[in-house]
Amino acid sequence: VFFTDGLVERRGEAFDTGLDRLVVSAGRGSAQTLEDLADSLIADALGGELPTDDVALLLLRPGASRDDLYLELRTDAKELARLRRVAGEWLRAAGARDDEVGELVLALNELAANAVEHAYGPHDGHFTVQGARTGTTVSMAVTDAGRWRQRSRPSARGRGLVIARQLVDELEIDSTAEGTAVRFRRHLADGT
Amino acid sequence: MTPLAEVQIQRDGMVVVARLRGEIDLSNVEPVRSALLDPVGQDTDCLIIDLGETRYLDSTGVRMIFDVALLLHSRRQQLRLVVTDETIVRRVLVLTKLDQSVPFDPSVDAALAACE
Repeated sequence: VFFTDGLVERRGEAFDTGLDRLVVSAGRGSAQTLEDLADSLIADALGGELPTDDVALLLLRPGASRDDLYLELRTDAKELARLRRVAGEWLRAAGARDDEVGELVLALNELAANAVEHAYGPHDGHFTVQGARTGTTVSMAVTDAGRWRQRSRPSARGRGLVIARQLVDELEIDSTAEGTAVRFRRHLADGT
Repeated sequence: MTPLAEVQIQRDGMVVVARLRGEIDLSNVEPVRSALLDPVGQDTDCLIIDLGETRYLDSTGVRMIFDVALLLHSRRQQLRLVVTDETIVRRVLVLTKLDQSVPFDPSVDAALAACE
């Protein structure tokens, strides 16, 4: 988190108090998208008052290399088509054959549709899709910040999961109080 | 109909041919279901859903076609699917075993002949 002092300074308050407040609210927002995190950092820091000084804020999140896929999507069914296009282009660039692209996009779409349909309550949330290629293996993950109710509507959820399992080599579901990550791997036929 | 898909209806006597073009997923499966069922009346003998130009079909789309098949079966009407080879659409239909409950044809002509 990079910022100018206008973000943490309030009139009649020690500088460290504002700094501590920023640390606490940045820690709370680790699962948010960077856009949402920026909004909540500014809201927490200014406490609803007009700033006394200029405020500039820059957020960076480390992790993905340039060749990896990292997508943040809204939990909205309309996002699925965008996911299919972007993931399809990424898989093609990663060396997957057309049939492999089709199958992996299908698996990804089913897992993402589960996140859209089941992971959240009435409010809009976000989920992320990641992909990386190591040697001839593609590893992908769909992560949401909501609780995955595994037993809810087994017919609908189960079908998507059954399809995904048949299209990948390994699939694991990691569900915690913070959210759910579904990770899968598939070996590509052509290693170029 | 939706930005992702369109349904074109053609009637041939008591047969309705619905050509489904584009992509079917969670976002548009309900309007697609209505567009497929609206033209099917009491006098319809057979509904042919042409998936030859369907680029994508997810599990909610498969479920929708299965529901349509059950409904038509209960009304003693036929459902046939036109599915071309080597497509991701065929792959998902076979993975979900829909091919075991709904007959597939390679072309609309073959499906029309089978409806006779």
